[in-house]
Amino acid sequence: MKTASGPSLTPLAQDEHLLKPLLDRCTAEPGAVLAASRDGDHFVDVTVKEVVDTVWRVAKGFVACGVAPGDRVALMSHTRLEWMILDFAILAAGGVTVPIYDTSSAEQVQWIVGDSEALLFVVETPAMLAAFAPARAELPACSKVLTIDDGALAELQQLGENVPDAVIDERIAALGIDSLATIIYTSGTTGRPKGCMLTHGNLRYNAAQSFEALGSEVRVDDTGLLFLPLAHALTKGNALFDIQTGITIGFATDIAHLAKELQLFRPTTMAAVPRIFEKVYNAASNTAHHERKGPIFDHAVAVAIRWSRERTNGRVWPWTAAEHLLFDRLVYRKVRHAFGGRLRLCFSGGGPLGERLTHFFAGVGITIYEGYGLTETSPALTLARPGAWKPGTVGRPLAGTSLMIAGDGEILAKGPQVFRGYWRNEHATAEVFDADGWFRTGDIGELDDDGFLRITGRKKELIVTAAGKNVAPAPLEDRLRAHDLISQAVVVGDARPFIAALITIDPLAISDWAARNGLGDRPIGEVLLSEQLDAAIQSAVDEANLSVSRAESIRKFVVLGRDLTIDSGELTATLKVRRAVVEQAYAPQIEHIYAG
Amino acid sequence: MNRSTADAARNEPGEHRFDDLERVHLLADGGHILVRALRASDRLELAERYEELSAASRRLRFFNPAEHLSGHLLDYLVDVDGYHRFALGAQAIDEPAQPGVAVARFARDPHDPTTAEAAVTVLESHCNRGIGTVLLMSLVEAALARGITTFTASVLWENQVLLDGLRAYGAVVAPAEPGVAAVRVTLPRGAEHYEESAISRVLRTVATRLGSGRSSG
Repeated sequence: MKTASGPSLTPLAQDEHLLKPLLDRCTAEPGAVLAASRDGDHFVDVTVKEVVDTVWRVAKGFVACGVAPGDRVALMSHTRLEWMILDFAILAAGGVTVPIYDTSSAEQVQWIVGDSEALLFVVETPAMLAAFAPARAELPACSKVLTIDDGALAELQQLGENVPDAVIDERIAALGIDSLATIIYTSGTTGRPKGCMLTHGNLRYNAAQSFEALGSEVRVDDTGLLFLPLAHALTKGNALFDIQTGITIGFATDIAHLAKELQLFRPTTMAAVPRIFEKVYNAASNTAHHERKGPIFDHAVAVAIRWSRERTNGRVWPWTAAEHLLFDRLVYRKVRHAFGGRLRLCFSGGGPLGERLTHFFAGVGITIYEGYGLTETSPALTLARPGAWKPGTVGRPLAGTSLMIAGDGEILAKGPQVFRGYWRNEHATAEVFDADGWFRTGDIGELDDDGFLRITGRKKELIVTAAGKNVAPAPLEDRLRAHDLISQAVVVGDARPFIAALITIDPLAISDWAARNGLGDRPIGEVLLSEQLDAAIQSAVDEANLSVSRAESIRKFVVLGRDLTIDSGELTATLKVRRAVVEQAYAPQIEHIYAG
Repeated sequence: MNRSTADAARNEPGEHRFDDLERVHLLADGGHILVRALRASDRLELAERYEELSAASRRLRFFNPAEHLSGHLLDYLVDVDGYHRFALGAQAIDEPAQPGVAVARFARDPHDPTTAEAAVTVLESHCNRGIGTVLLMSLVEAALARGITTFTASVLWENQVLLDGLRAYGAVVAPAEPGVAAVRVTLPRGAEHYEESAISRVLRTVATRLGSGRSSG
């Protein structure tokens, strides 16, 4: 069994916690800019002291609301300064943050608030509050719901006015690396989402490990734009890294405004998922081809990749260097401009970026350090780093981290960032740790002789979208098949921008249905293309989507002209669906879904 | 093991004869099952039993299972020729209705006639009785007699119990597509060794674990 370990790691003191870097910074430079939020066409700075003072007052509000050490507080909001303040305030009150995606469905919200037995629930908008209202009666543990847009922070500060500061001092003093900090819910392949318990130590260690790998690249005036959901471990880890290293955080308002806000904030660093880089690349390519400069762009891409490959191998040939210089002015500068013009240091995770794209961006002047990990590992296990950058791999193990490839190819991990288990789910916890305490990642990979990890497959029946969202196809397919008209459903979307479904129609049910809907005299081919059938299937899709967040929902579907068969290889001889064969057989239909 | 006489099943005219495997087996709990070839007339019962399978069992067996077995899938499941496509059923003959409680099958690989894909399903209500073991052993015996030396199977990685059982006795388990493992098991060369062979121990182990109700192949 092949193993690889990262460099040694300095242990954290037992009384370390997530607030410490923030408080240390407040002591050292209270007036320094910690973060910035958009106001009109500007980003408005907020200092470390302003944030810490607000965190303190809000934390007292949580105490006044009855939050005791270890109590869970659910937080449903998109990424914004208030999210960070509320999260730190929950921790300062001794509580545990349970983040919920702002796009989560009512069913998911009800499950997470109920399963975590959250005492309080902070939502972002009145619409979220209204969507939660029907579930509230069934969740007696949740005593209060506050709405950020209706003044939740002010209300909490007012409620906490009479709580002495000493209470917060005591709560923070009681925290340590083993204290539970957050429960992040993740989708399994079947069943309900499971709560990953991450401690203060897990997350602090991961920030320290990331700093050990990339700290040398960080400059004193660096800024980072945060736009992915803070409910995702990748973004949370990125924010903690920024706070620890002194990178000023800019809070983007919405992914839809990202292009504009990159120009306004002009970050020098960024953590993103492959989809973001693909989008910028595709936009640049489309623009060039639209302007009849396609061949120039394509050549510039080839040169950027060649330049990066030659540089990685230790020598850039003069002709490559000359072409690279030429295209820098013609093409690369425009690509850099799309990111605001100052972006230098990028981190990519959540899914595979691809060797070609990594080299292209390196050739353009934007180095992307790819990493690998899971929510259960806080999240990073590996990271590329200066001097150990090998596109197509996800880097080497982080400091203090050991990886082992099991006999069946599964990547096993040990390290201080590995979680302690799933919330109140000992069975699921036992399944992911082997007898020697190795965490089973569920991913399949290879370690090369230099210790670089390459991800080659997945043991979990999961789809990972280009946006880094893990989506379990089975529960969605189950719900679709529950519809009378649907025979088979195959959910697709691996490395794609969204989830879609291929649907086959039950040949018996369709005849009855056609007769009932006045289509009985039409040929079956015509019925399959009818608007009525489309509407009926759409209702089944809408029903299935009730169980998932927007990022996991089926956005498009296509009805196939026939059922899956054994002769075509789509089903095995013992009638098991072969997803890869189905996807290959219907590649044109799938391409059409994503092209449209 | 007792030879059945009273309930001996007859093969349909024109079908390959493979009633040599038709036997009554005594189970450890004192019950009896009749193992026999699956017949076209089992079609309706197969459809009914499918409805009795839990969602979890269906998923482990079919991955992406239909709500109901459609007509053409049922046709396929009972369309066995006894040589390339072979299926055995187990009937609980101590019960008044003598219901079918398990099915095991293999289908020869058209590109490699020495290899066949195998699968077994036991109703949850009859798990932990050793029925899976008996069926699998009979299936191996039949496969060997028909020139098959290797069984393959697609197994969900989440079916860890089954995979561990197979692996412990030398099955090669490799990643296929996301969520799915490709399993290859070499069957012993001669049927005469089969009773005491490694594969028989594998099957016994696997079938015992199948009986836990957590998996079906």
